[in-house]
Amino acid sequence: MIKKPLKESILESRIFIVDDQIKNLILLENVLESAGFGNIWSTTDERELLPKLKTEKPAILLIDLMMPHISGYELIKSIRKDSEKDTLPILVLTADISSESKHQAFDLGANDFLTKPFDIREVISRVQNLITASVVLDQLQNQNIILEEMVEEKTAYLKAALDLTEKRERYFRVLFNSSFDAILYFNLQEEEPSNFFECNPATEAILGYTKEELGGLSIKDLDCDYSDDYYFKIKEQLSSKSETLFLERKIRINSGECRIMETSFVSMEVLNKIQTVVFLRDVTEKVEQIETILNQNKIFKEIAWSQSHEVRAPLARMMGVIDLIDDELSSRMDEETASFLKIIKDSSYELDQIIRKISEKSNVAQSKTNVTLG
Amino acid sequence: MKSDFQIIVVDDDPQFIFLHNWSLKKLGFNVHPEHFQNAEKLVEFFKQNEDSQSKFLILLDIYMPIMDGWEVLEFLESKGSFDTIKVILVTSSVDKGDKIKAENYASIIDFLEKPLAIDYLIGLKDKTLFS
Repeated sequence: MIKKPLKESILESRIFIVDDQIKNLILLENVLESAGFGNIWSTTDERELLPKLKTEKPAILLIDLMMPHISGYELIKSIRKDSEKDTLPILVLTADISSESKHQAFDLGANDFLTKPFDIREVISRVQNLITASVVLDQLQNQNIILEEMVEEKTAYLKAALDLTEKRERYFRVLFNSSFDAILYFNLQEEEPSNFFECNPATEAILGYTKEELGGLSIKDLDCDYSDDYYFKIKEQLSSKSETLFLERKIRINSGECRIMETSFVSMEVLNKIQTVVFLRDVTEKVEQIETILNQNKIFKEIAWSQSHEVRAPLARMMGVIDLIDDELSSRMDEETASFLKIIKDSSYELDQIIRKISEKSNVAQSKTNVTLG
Repeated sequence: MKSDFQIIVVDDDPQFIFLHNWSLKKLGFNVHPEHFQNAEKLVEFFKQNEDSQSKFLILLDIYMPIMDGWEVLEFLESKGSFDTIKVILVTSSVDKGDKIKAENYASIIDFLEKPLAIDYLIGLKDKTLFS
């Protein structure tokens, strides 16, 4: 809302004048215009007033009491019935100076009187005063409205922020509750690690402790290889870099067993306090599986090596001898012996091909396994 | 016949030594009276005959217990006697990795898979191995 200077606002104020005497209207208009008021509507027919008020709200109404069709009293009465118009300043123009008529007009809601014949200064002064009061009141009301709007806006903003926070909270709560990893909160920034003060449902399944039991434990109880020095280093790293630390630790679960767990630490500020969050994922089975695969791979390597080197050695001897017999003696052999020798020779070469194929396959499998296992 | 070099057979398998020597002698190669059933003895032999100007072609097995053919090659190449000692690897192995590895040694003039073929040896007789 654009604020105008008060004086300008007053002079631009809309003024309604209702008087059945045209000379009164002319006089009042002239007087007011001479004082700088230029926004005047006037009528000698009082019946026009109420319809006019429906379309427009003046800053002040100057109204005669004695009029032929509707009296000023009645008009004032119906104006005041309308709650929107109850603050409209009404200045009664009357020749009747009796206190009774004044009281009646005041009772109905008139704000002031101008007695006929008019005193020019009085007219200007009364109109100015009433308008000023009205404008100031308007401005105050406007300011109130602005303030209310601001408060409303701010409230809406805060409510939206709160909604968003609640939504986020719910969102993170869902993540927290549905995570397959154990998530525990504690404090690492003190002399020694604090007990855990929050954990998610997965924690209970992974560690075998209830939430209440975990409240009485700290990372010292869980980390099988706990040492003050090691955790001092973790603390240092967390405070120097705001990164997540990924480690593999042996974590003691409720049964007393130490399980291999991917363990990550994050430091975060919650309500002006640094807290540490630790995520635990049991990878014992995965590690064991990898070890099994590596062992199998080793055995496989040995077999592959053995068949391509050791198994082939006696075969190569046989092939050598067979070749020598074939080269040196075949001409002296009878047909039958020669065909037997051919069977032996073909078989040894066939076996040689088999060994070569197995060797090639195991080499390919080998390089694949190496890639997979890094 | 260019018998200006002697052939030495190195193999942990006595039957291969027998077969190789038999073939070589039959074809008239100048086979060194000594053959070695382990690589350490070959290394010992070269250490004792360091000043020798004789030329040797070694038929070398790769996989032998204690010291293998690769270690022999490391030793020979460290001596830098490329002009007087040449090596033909003769192995039962059909592992392709061995063949690739063999390319790293300048002393090696060929890589053979057992059995050692008579035809190969016949071809060898016509080659000039030592310039």
